[in-house]
Amino acid sequence: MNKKSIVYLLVFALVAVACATEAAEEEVTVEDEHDHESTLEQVQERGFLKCGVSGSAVAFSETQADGSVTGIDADYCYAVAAAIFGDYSKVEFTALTAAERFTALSAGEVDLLVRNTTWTQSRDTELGNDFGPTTYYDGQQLMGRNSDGLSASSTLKDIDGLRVCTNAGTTTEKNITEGARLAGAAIELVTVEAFPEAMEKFKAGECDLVTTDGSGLVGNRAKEGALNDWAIFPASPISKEPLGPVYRSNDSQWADIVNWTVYATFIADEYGVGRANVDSFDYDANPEMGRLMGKNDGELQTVMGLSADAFYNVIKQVGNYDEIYSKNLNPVGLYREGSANAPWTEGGLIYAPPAR
Amino acid sequence: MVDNVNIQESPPEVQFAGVNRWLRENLFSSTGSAILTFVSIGALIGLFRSIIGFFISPEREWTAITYNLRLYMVQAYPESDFIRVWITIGLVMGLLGLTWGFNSVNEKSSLKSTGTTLMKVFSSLFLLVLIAPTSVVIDKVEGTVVDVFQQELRIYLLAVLAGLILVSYLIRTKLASQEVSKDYLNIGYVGLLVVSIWLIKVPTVTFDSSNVRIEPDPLLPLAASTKNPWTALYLLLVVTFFIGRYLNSKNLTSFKRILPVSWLLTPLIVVTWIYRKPDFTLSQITTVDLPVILGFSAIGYFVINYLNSEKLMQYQRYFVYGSLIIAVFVFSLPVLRQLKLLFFLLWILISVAPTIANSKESARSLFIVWSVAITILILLMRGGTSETLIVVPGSSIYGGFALTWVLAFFGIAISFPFGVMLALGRTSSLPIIRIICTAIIELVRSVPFITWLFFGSVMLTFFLPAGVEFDEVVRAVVVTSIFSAAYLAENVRGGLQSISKGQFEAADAVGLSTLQRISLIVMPQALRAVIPPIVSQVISLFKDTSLVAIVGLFDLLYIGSKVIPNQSQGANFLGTIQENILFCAIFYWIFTYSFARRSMKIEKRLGLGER
Repeated sequence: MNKKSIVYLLVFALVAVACATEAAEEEVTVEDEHDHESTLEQVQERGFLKCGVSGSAVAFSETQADGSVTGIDADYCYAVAAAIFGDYSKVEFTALTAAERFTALSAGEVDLLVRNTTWTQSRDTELGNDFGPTTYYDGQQLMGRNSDGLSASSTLKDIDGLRVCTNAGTTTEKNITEGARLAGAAIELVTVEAFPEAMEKFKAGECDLVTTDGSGLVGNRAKEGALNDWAIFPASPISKEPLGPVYRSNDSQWADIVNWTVYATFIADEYGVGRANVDSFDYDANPEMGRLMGKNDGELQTVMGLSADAFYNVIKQVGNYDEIYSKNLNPVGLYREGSANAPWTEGGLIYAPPAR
Repeated sequence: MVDNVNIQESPPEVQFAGVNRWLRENLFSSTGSAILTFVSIGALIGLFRSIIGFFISPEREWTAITYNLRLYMVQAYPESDFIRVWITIGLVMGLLGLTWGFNSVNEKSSLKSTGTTLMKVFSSLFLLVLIAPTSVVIDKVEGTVVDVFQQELRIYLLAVLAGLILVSYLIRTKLASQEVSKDYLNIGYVGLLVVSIWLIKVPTVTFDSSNVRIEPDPLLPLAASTKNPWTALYLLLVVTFFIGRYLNSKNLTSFKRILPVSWLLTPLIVVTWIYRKPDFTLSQITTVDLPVILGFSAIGYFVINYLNSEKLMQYQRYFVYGSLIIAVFVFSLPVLRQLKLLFFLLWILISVAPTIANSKESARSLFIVWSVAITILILLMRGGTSETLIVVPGSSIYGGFALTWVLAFFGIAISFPFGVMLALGRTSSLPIIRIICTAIIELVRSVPFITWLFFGSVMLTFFLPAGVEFDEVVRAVVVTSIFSAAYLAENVRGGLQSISKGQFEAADAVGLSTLQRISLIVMPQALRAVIPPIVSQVISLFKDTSLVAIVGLFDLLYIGSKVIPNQSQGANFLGTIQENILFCAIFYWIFTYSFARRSMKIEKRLGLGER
């Protein structure tokens, strides 16, 4: 190759690379700072909602054999997606561990955190999070054997002299110690590393009682098929564990969307509007439902940045609170009647502000 | 005269002196050992009885595994794209067959040893059936006993196994002198497995018309969607085996090099092109990738052929520094990642080309390697950086065994060269390189793996500029490989220290360059010496992948220990943790044991441990 062709070769190479660079620059979209974009805008631009769940919590967020995610937590993710996109399936679930959930939320890895998270003062005020309406009122309870004379109506006074298994160094341990002292019952505390071990000890008869959140106890009782052998008590739990959605602070539009999606499921439940009758319901007779479903006036929704029929899609595609609750929690033996999760009209705490 | 005779060492023939004598010498040599023998046999029978009882107890819900196999393997990967998974396995099977056939030495095996193996297997099964418990306790507190193993079934099984033992005994004695190819024997064994998937029935979850699960679970044949692909894959394996053998008989030496390269490339092609289903247009390739490839090939041609001419040789160091500065500058520009990487590669090429391309042939082959390498790299990066078209309801398209596999493979593939470089750097005589490498190794080793995973998962986001996001899986792969590289570096350093100084001096004396000394003299010996610790490292890395569960990725073990035992919807497998954990243990064992067996073979081939 002579000198001339080398020069040609080099020129060709430079031109080719330069052309490619030009074409490539069009491809590289320099991402704008997301800081001044609201969460809703980010979600809409992205085309799907990023929702943080556990992925392995009985009845709250389970991963099924085909990889889909079900549960009451998952259903509220679907509900928010239905409100924003009119399509409940526009969700990408991120499985988060208890340790990383708040960091993932504040780092923007998820838009919404629905991971059986207890609403406490410190989590609300110190971590830059805000909590949405409680979707499930949980609380610490005890589980014992009917053969020991325990029943659903037993109280903390009845556990005098019994051995209680729980996991060490948790609020669960503190609650039961304090509770037993207040009730004047002397208990023998057996602490283990994790709750499954406590369950194993209980099954092997090494302790008479186990204690953790009521939903966990019910789940374990269902696992063992011991519905008639084991009793869960006391009726009013010894601690308050309100579980609900969590989002980043200082974005009131996003907070409104999440809150009112939850409230819409409450209100629809209150008026008996569900997946089956959402189309045939007489909205003229119930103007509040009409407004909420965007039937006669959807202005309240459009102000929030949603379409007028946003909550209609929620009820149509996901269901009202009772439907979500029954579908996910009844199979493991959790029922609304008589619990804090009953509607306010029946003595429960499920209550939503009016839609007007 | 005597000195010339080649004396072959061979162990004396051991004559088998009969069962009685063997028993007397080994098990009942004294009263004490007789007692010990009886006690151990009793303990072993008890242990195996309880293990078998665990497996056949009606409490076990093995459908938790059969129903969730898809979750175990690929998590939420959509069924409509399963063909991609099968193509992936097909590629591996094809390569496996080619490699097997190509490296086949046509070893013969006498039917005597085959008969012995079969006899051992059937006799063990016979013993297991013999001692299997008739009934098991299902409620420890109340002591409920349930019959699980009917006497008729036991007698039937024992009769069948006795017949099989007899057949293998006949093979062993009557056909002992017959010889068969070991390869055909192995094809036959795998074939038996394939036949068995057409015959076996497994407990299957079934639902009635109103979507209520029918219990107890009926035994049904495997679904056609499982049987057909595996049969096709088996046929592919057999066909590629014969192709590989044919290629071997044609003495294609170039194929010897192509094989390992394809083994390395296949996973890359799989993760960037096949599994991810990348979203790109042809015009992106023609207007961006093709000019880049052609341009950089041309520049490479110039560098390789003219940079070592005498005129330019004296400016070599300016070219090296200049290209490095350009590479760093390009890196800071908002251009495609491909370009950033290519400029760095160009810097490396400019640095090494004058040394390597010292003859016409080596220049030609270096140019071919360069062009092919950048073509593959650019195309892979096009697939890897494009958006994926796979939409799944989970956080990533990698989950289950697919995730375990990706983490393990890339962890090993990336950490190996990186670890070797760290080891060399730590033993280097250049203080800055030595200090940096030592610092990296010590820093990485002194912090727990879980902490690094957390760092990659939650902290990295705060350090990266806004808008830059890495996939959770990519972060886990990076953390895994860096962590494993630090340990590997120390293993390799151990190997480096085992090489005497004389080797280095001899290499210097014959005038080898540093690169040649390391690649031709030092590394082959050092790596050979540290195969056992490296294999341990690989096995431990494979198992450590299960730790990614703490950053929210669903690997095989997490699915078994947490996800499936918490399914209350659908088929309801609440509390099936024992079955699932056991399945995971067996799954991991199969893989790690194969690694160990493979490494033993490599050690044998290299004659390690015989010096």
